Amino acid sequence: MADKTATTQEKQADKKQGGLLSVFTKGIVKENPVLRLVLGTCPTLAITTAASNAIGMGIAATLVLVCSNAVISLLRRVIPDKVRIPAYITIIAGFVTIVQMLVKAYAPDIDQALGIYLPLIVVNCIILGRAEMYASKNSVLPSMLDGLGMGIGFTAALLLMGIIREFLGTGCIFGMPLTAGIVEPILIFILPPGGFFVFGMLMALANKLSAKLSGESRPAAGVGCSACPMAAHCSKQAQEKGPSACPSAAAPEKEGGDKQ
Amino acid sequence: MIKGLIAVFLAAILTENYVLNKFLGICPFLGVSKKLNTAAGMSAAVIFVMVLATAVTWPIYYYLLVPNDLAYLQTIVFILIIAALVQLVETVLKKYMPPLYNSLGVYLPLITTNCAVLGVTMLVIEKATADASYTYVYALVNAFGAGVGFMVAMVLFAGVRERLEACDVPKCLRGLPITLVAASLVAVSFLGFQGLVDGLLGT
Amino acid sequence: MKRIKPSEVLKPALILFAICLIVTALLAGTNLLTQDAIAAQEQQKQDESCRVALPEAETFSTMEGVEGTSAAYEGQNAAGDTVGWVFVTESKGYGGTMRVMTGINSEEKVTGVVILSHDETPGLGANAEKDSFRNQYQQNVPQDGFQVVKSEPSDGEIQAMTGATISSNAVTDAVNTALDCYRTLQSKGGAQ
Repeated sequence: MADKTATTQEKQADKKQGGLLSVFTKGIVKENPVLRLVLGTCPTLAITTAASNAIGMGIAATLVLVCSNAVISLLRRVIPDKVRIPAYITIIAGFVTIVQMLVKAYAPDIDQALGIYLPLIVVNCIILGRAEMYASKNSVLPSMLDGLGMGIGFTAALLLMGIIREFLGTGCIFGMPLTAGIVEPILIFILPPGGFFVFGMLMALANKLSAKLSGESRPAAGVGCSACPMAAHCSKQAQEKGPSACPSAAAPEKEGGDKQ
Repeated sequence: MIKGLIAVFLAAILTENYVLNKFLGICPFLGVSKKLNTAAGMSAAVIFVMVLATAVTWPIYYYLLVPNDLAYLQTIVFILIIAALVQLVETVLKKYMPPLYNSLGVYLPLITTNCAVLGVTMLVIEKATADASYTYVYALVNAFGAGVGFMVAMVLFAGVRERLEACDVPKCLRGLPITLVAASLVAVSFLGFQGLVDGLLGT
Repeated sequence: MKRIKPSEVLKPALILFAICLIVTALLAGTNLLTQDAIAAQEQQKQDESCRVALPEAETFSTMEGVEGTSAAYEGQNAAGDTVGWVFVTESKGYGGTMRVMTGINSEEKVTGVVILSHDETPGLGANAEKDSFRNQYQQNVPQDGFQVVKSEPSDGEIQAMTGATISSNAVTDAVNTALDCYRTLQSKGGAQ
């Protein structure tokens, strides 16, 4: 049964594509993984204390995302449905470790700044989420473009957060002092609470803007990793269908309850 | 020794709170903290898996990976162990402890991708590399403390969110944004704990 | 429950195993390619820190078994004479363990203090990394170790960072441990 749905979905996806360009660009604005799909919140909050960290993290995650999407898309007919999650995790973890070693060898400062959050890209919902929702149903080129678009969207959101927090919290941007001696920086913005606050405000802004653009007020996807393949638990459906129930089916129901 | 363990435990809950200070496990923190009982159930599962995962990954890292110069496989081995462990726990609970499975089972598959679990297994090893007196027991206590810290944050936040439901929030802030602002305020209160543990135990 | 055929279990298991095998092989390859570069980076970083702590020395050789330190180096100048020592010591700061590198030359003067790693609050305790704080230690080794004060410091005293007394104390503790190591080394007859 799973195979059959996979092929129908594949056909639909192919039809819906409407050019590779939109596959690429949707991740940057319309389906921005951080601000619209609310994926990968942990690194978004943790490493955005400086704009330079954000770029390092963004590039590392984008690399992993493009590579894992490509490989998973190539293997999508080989990997049995039952073991797909462990298989995806293995592939993703492999790429993360490769990126980690490269960063350690050629950009040790970034490694120092990102610390444990670099290997933790493995459990970044964006990557597993895209593998499950896109790469496993589409051919290689669109999957890679999807990965690239999502990666750039992720990087852009991180960079925005990083610049805001670094500027307000230390008065610098990319380490360059701008307001030194004029205004005392608001330290709390680079501390953990500032991360939550700036993220909340950015998301409110994104909601406002998208409401204006589309004319309807549709807040960002539900809370947390609702689009993450493992997040099916949130809805009652998950209990009936079993934990691996399709998250895309489960998510809307949850969101509905959220908005009221 | 006992004092050291208590210090590690308290530090893991209060000053190094995984959710509010290290930003690990934000997804379930925002996603499951809507109701008090689900928050508690999820946290219980997390505590269980955290301790179990640390108990298994630590010896594997020190007795299998390090002696064979395979430390670079850490990430991939750890995540696979956690995934396998979660599956195993789920199967065992389903078969032998149905009541427990009914209350925790739904949360278990989620935990595989919970960065707090992978995070704790990696952080204890990082700590042990920096400090030779940091032994297996410390690591286990740290993992347990991290889990309890997760629970404290979840339960506290669930309370905050229940109050939030009744508030009149500006339209564009509704849903996630206001939740994040609330989380920010909870995090402010946890900032106050910094330095407390050392002062308390006089270490 | 439905009966499970062996092939249904075996095939996914084999595929999963194959994926694991390929990924591991790839990792081993990457590791082989990058391990030298990583080691070189670490060595270079350590050398750089040592050079900041003890600028007079050209080369550094590791010293084994110096009690109370996590690493110790002997610094030689271009002529090969020992000009000082570098100690890496640890202490407990506000947020966690702090690793501090202290350079002391053979004229009993602290030549430099480098914070190797710390977990302090950004903007407060993390200011320990700034030159303005670290350079205070560059003075003659005081008899009873450095003292932290909040007012204008005199000899052997360190002015605490604003709002970060615990972090200031932590750095000073680590430096004082290094001073102890230095004295033990001296009483044993300096460099062996």
